[in-house]
Amino acid sequence: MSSTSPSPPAVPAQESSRPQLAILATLALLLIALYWALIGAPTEATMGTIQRIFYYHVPAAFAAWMAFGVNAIASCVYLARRSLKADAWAVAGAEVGLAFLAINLITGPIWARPVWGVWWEWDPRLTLTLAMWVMYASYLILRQLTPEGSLQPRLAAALAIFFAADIPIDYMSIRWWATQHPAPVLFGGPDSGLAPRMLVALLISLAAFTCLMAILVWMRYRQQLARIEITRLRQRLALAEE
Amino acid sequence: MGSLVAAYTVAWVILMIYVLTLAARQKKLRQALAQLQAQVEAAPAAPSQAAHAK
Repeated sequence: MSSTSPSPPAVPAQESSRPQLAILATLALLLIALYWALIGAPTEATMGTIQRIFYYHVPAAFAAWMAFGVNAIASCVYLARRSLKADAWAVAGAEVGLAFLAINLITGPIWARPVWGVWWEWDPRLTLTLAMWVMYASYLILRQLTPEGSLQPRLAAALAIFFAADIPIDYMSIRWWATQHPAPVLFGGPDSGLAPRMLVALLISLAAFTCLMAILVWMRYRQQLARIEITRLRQRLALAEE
Repeated sequence: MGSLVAAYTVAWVILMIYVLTLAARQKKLRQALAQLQAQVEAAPAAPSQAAHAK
């Protein structure tokens, strides 16, 4: 293709239908995951029906970690290149991750109360997860409170990289320390593992939550780009008025 | 059974609230963007209109 060939339109006609297809596919996957979580997976022998919370509790944490991972990578890219698009990805990752971690933090105590006899234990896994929620909430509050400018995304990116250290520690906490929280069922010790149909239910739910997380991050990213465009237009108008 | 229903309901409610928040924000941003784009398009015409009026 020569360099003089006409450039394609900014938004191809087909592009608008792709997000809708992805949303529909994710909704279908969420329904399949719900079926497997409530009906397809066998009832656990010790805890009974309440163990089925597992199929939402674990994927919510996984989706949150992935979203915070997006935030961390985008923050590194922002610091290296000062790219506003990278900063937009960082904001999107933090906000969506916070929503999924809220699901994990609320479903956990609902599961713990009948099984442990208490709503909450200050054990490493629970404490680190709560700390993670507070850290990313403070990250978003900081972005709201500081005036827009070059310092705000830089400060936020530095904080985000610092906060990301909590992700691997949180993941490894139930491997490093014997805690009230159950040991890992996947990639744990020789005693870890799940019944085949339970594993299928978990994997489908993990896929559904991850797809939903990706769609929400993408939607939030587009909104952040729109905000950047609004700021740019306001500056242009202010210059025109001078 | 009650705890299971509560946990799943909470998960869906949080997701629905977040999606509705995103939708409301999207509507506001779209309106603001359209308004600003119209203002920007009108802005360069203002000096020539003023000159024409003179």
